[in-house]
Amino acid sequence: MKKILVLSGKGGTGKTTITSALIDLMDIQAFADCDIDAPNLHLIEAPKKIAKKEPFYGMDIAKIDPEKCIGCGKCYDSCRFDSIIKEDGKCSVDELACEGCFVCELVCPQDAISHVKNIVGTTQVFKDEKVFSTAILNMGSGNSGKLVSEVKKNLYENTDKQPLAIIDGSPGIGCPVIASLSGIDLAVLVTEPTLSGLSDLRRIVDTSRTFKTPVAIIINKYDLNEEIADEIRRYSESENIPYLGNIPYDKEVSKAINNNISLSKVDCEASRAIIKIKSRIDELL
Amino acid sequence: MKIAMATLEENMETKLDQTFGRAVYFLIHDTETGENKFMINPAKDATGGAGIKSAQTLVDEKVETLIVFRLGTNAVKVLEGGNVKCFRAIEDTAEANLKAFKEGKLTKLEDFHPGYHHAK
Amino acid sequence: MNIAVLSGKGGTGKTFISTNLANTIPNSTYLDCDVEEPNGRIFFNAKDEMKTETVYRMIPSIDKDKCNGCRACTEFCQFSALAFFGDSPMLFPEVCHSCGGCEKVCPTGAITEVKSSVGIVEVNKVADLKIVSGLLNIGEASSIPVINRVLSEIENTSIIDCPPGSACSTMESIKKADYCVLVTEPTIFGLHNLKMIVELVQLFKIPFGFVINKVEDPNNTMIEDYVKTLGKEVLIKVPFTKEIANKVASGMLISDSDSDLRDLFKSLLNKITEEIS
Repeated sequence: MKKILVLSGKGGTGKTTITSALIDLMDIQAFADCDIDAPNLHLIEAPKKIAKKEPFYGMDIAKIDPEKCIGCGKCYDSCRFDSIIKEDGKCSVDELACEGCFVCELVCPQDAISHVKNIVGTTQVFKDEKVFSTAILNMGSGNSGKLVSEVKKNLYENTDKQPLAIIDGSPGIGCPVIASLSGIDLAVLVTEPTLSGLSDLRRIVDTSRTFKTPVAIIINKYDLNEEIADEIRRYSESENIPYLGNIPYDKEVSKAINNNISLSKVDCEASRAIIKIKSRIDELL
Repeated sequence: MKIAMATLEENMETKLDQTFGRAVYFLIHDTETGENKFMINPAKDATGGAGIKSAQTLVDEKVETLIVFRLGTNAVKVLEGGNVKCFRAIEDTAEANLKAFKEGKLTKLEDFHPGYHHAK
Repeated sequence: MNIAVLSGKGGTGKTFISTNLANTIPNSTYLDCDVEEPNGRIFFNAKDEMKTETVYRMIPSIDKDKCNGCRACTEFCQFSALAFFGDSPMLFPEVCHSCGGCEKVCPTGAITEVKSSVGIVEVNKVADLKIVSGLLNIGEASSIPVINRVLSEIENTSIIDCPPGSACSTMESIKKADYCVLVTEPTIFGLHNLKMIVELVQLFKIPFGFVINKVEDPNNTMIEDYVKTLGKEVLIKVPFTKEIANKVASGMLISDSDSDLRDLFKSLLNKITEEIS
């Protein structure tokens, strides 16, 4: 099964919109949403039958027994993550900040600290003729890389003979992006014609190359600034990165999206541009 | 000599896990006694450093050979340090992979991917 | 007063709002806490760099001569950053969380801590505006140390440009905020992700208000309707036009060239100041 990952560097360039259009145009039966901080793909590709829903655990986190705690503050002094709260002569743990390093349990002279399981998100798999894997990371959490790996694993475990899978990725260059890159055949980078977009594009290209993932570029809303769109085109040429095409800014896009409709079902300038891009992706794969 | 594989189930007809660091089970076959031991991978739920921890587990079990599909660079460092030789698995059962290895049909695993890197 | 600007969904206009807001406040400070992809500095054309500082975290260094092979460090590390083979441990720095635990458990003093670079912080000044930008090294896992160093430059009225989402880096960025401006766009994606950060600011008990960016269709009231359910009103609405988009795309501060928008950003500050007092 070939795997496409849609990334951007900068947020808001149109990953989810484009991913949902490609799912229909390329008749993709297996897809996942790895933008676990802010998953949106389900709003367009509305899944039906839920096959699996499971809690996702992060590191075990510290818990202080108030009966045993004498408020000496040794845990507070050793904690590198500002996770210990000192109040009314006792110490307690800030659950959102705790990293589960066990140093507080190590230094506590009263044996008042233990570590407990901690749910930081939920994974879901929907399955009928298609398979859709997604997850949500609870607010404030930091275990994003592993959750992304779970979403991908859930997708692969539930696919059979599907030839192609597509993954809606996360903005940025951090853990969720790095985790999503492994095992990918093509990373499609969606950018926008802004200086911010170009700056972030360079960093996501560097990140993808660290993992030896082949990349290709799409410029979305290119006519908002054609000068910068050209600059991005020149950048992709100079870096030998395949240029898949550009999509014009089109009011019809938000109309469709706000009605939970994939662009593939609407005929407008943007959707026609994506159809051309689709053929180029077919060629690349 | 001990030969290890990452498996999906605890029997010899099982398929091998496509991944290593968070595989659920490790099979350890002892060529001297013919024994097949299955153990739960202590790193299977690791939030990060799974490849390192899995590799450490096998090194501590005195495994000499590992048959696997893919390995991250961190796991490789630990396995090499522990003198574990790595071979590329074939798409078949654990039993079939073992047989293929003993018949000298498996190739050495030479390309490694940069790891998932840990989750915070 | 410290005002944090956050969004939930990426690309709604946090940097657009925060850079222009800072630009309309005399003697203010702009702090870019989106250290994975910092963009604010593009808009300020800062030429003379006041100072650039490397941000460090601590990682263990092992003295093999003092190591007695007890493996206490390897067994203790929750992150598997230490592996043991042969006669001494090996460190995997990219999974090390800098918790200091291994140094504490080592019985022979074989482990000491040394500095490891995670990124940089740049501080510039343009006229009376102080600009602080953090940049995380590629491949580095935790942005927290860089964010904290950026926040240490808070001075006068400070506008904090936060990372997208509601994960730990965003949480860290709002810790010193007196008020949170939640920026969204009038789409179902924007609305869906907005609700997540409302939860976050409510948890932190920080007063907050809403800004809708890229407004095109007056009949689309999905965000206003949601805001009303919280008993609030939208602070300001910024229109979308291709002209504005084109200028912002090329790194221009729109509040310099467009007086209506300049007034709009000034009114944003007034409304926030009113709400806090």
